[in-house]
Amino acid sequence: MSDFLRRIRLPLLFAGLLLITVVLMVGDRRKLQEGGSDHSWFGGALLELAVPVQKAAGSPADLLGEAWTRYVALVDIGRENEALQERIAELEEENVQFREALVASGNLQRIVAMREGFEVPLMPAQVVGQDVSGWFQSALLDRGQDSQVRSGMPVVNDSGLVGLVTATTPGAARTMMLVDRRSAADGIVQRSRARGMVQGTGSDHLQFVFMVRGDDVREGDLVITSGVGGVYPKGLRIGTVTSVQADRNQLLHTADVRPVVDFGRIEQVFVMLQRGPTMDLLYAGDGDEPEESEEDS
Amino acid sequence: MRTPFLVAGLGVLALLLEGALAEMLGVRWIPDFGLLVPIAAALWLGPVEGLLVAAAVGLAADTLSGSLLGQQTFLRLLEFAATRIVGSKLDLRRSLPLTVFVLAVGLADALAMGGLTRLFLGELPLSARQLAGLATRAAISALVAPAVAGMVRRMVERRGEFEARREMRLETRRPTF
Repeated sequence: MSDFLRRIRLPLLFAGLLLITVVLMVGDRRKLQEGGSDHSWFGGALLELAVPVQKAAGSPADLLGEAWTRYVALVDIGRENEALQERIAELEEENVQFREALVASGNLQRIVAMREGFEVPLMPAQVVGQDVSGWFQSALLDRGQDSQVRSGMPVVNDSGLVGLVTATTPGAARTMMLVDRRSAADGIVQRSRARGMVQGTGSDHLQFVFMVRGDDVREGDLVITSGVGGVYPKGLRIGTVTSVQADRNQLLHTADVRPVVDFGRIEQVFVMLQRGPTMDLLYAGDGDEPEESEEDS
Repeated sequence: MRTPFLVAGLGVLALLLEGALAEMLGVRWIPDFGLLVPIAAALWLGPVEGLLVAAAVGLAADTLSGSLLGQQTFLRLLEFAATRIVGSKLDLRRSLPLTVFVLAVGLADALAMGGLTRLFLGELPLSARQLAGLATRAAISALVAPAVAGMVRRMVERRGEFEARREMRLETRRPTF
């Protein structure tokens, strides 16, 4: 009997592990659909460990780059440039918001309301690592729950929308980038107000699917977030239309969009410390609610 | 017994470095250590220890990437089994057969990953550029495979377990008078 057990021990262990992985996949898929994305203690610990290790591994390249910026390419210019870039990012986003309000209604009060609505605190974070599989586009950030970063918060950089925080630990956060094939954002063409869905393709471009026939979408148009859907705030830049596939027999037309963000070279990003109402609903009750600031309470 | 922990630790560390290198160079130019370490474990560790190492490295890869939890673990377990089966017919401990085997497994892994993603997450648009990227990564992984296997072999040797196995193998060749 013991000999028999010894013989089947390995196949039994193998089958058991395979079964566990299938159960994990089904469970994780369900969790993904419901919006929750808590890490197990193992996953959380690994992400916490990943931040310092990946930072250390990337530091030689960072040091070289920094040395060039700060010392070779003139002292202090780099530092000043960084501050200016941050300021430009803020101003550009504000500018897009103002133009949005003007185009949409021409109502000054609305502009003021949007301006106030856009004053969301931004948390700077560094991208320390990218997805190790070739199939998904996610990035690891060096800020987490300790910095008020929560799942469902949008991530931007000085160019535009980067993605969405999908999982957090005290010191790290994982971001699903906009180009990930599971990613989608409601977008509008800034010029013509044509509305549709911007979807990730898993490569370096996006697909804009617009629903109403006859919508005016041309090459070079800027696509921004519409704010519909309650995930991303209105007016974040997504990308520019590079080609349009408008088949008259099709109800849904598609356009290729080149993202304004260079996803292959993201270093510094900003997490918007306020998530949309849909994300609030999705993540409500999973212990991942943003803490109220003193001003709010 | 500590050797499997060391090998699993090496695998996880390699994955962490892989993430940092992917940030600098792009993921297609980085070897898939999450694939290489389980294959090396299948060649140089015992079946149970190797299986557990493959599961641990797969789980770490799932955690560090955007894949479903269990997705890469599932594939690592299958690849572990494939390595053991093919290894019993071919000498995968030699560099050339190992390189060819890893290239084949790397390509199969990419397609299987796509299949699982389609099965669990729905439609899967896959461009020729992406396929080329996955093939490049499989080729680079294949080139690096003998070095990773050698590293695991040295770890096993240092712990003395390799010596014990070699003695067992030598015993079968010993002349019997």
